[in-house]
This record gives sequence, C-alpha cells and structure tokens, in this order.
Amino acid sequence: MQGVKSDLFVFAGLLMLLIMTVVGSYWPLGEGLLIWSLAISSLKAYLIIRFYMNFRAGDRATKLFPYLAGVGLFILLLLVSTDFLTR
Amino acid sequence: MKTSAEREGQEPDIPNDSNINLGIWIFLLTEAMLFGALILCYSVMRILHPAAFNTASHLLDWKAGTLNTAILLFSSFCMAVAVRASGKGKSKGTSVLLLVSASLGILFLAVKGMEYHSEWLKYLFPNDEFTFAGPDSAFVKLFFNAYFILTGLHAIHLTFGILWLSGLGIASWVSPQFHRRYPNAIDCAGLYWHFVDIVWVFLFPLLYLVGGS
Repeated sequence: MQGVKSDLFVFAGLLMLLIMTVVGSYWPLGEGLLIWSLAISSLKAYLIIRFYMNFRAGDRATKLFPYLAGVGLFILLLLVSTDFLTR
Repeated sequence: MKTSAEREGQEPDIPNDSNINLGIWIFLLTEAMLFGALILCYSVMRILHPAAFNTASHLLDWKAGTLNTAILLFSSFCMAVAVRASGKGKSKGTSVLLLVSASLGILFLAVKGMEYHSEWLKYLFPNDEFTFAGPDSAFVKLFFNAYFILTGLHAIHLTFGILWLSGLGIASWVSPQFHRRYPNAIDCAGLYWHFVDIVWVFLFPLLYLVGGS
C-alpha cells in the first residue's frame, strides 16, 4: 500500500510538471522556452526512471545501461554539435 | 549433467532474472539511441529554421497533445501499480491493471488518430497535396515530415506495447500460475511501457509547445 501511495505522489508530481510545461509556453521566454521545456521533460523522465522503472532496485550491471544510454546520447550530441558549429 | 538452474530447483528453460532485466535494459539503450538521433535531427532543423518551425508548431493541436500526455502518464501509473501487484502474486488485480494500461494506450492512439485526420483534412500531411499559404512553406513541410516520422514511430512502439500488455493481461487472468512461471515478464513489459512514455514526454514539448502558445 505504501508503494502505491508513493506511485500516486509521483503521478501527481508528473501532472504538476505537465501543467508547468504548458504554462511555461505562455511565458515570453523566447529561445529559453526550449531549455525550459527540456529541463522539465528531463525531470519527468528522472521521476519515471527512478520510481516507476525501479532503477535503484537493479543489480550493478543493469544499472550501468541507463548511464550508458546517457553517455551514448551525449557523444551523439557532441559529434553533431561539432559538425554543426564548424560548418 | 544438471544445469545450474536445475540444481537450484528452477525450471531449466527460464533464464536467470537479472539476465532478463539486463537484456531489456540493453534493448532500451538501443531504442534511446534511435529516438535520440531522430530528436537531434529535428533539433538541428529547428535551429536552422526557427521561424518556420514555430509557425508549423502553432498548427498542431496542443490541447490534444496535453490530453495525450496526461493519458500516457496515467497509464504509466497503472503499469507501476500492476508491477507491484504482480510482485505480490495478485494475478487478477495485475491483469485488470495491465488491461487498463493497454486501454489507455488505445485511447492515446485514438486521440492521435483524430489529430492525424484533422491534419490530413487541412492538407498538412507532407505529400504532393501539402498546402501552406504562409511564408517558408518548404520548411513548414519539413517540420511536418519530422512530426509524422517522430509521432508515427512512437505510435508503432505504443502499438507493440498495447499488444504486449494485452497478451500479458489475458495470460495473467487465465492462468494464476503465470507470475510464478514467468516472474519477470510483467517487469520487462513495464520497463518498455515506461520507456515509450518517456519518449512522448520529450516529443510533446518539442513538437507542440516549442513555438510558444
């Protein structure tokens, strides 16, 4: 029951973040809107991975792969940025 | 000669629990790279053509996008509770929650289908009939190319998830022994379902809101 309660709190938090994403699009943030939206999306993704996907319950080898995904995406971003900025 | 699983009293055809979890995480890593690369392509195009992409973003129905996000978040909550119920051996409860999650996925696809239909009627589908009267028509079309590829690929993933969850829900309802025989089946489906939710969490603001309301 305790677990379901915490899941419910996480769901409420995710809905709050969804509202913040939509409300943020009304603010005159200009290009900052992209950063704002991505920051909130990252926070939502963290909550889902941490609580719903039970990331901390896995063994060491399993825990390595979400980090590897992050590293892989970072390398992808780095290579594309380098190519994009030097053209 | 007995295998290690047989010596430990497990059924020999079922792989070790942690290996199954590791396998699904590796699969999700490859999926993250797939969607990551596509989202990165979209972001580069947006940086190159900000005015056209903002204009095109305003043509989307952000209310439908918000509703769909809420639907997927609720389905993720149901899925998380289903995994907990499965851990406690509550086969009927798990089954109901899995089928509710799958139904919410179908609802998501229905809303998305209505959006696609509306965009088709407005000639926004990026084929030969694409029509946009404003400036930068070619780049607005480029946005809709990216929009249909990203949301279409996401919808295909969601469809697989719906089939997976429905199959598990029915199996769990029919056979109360299902959890004992396949203890990781629902965990793995849950991980996949949450991943599909995370992809949408990023797609929604990037496609619908980034032009500002």
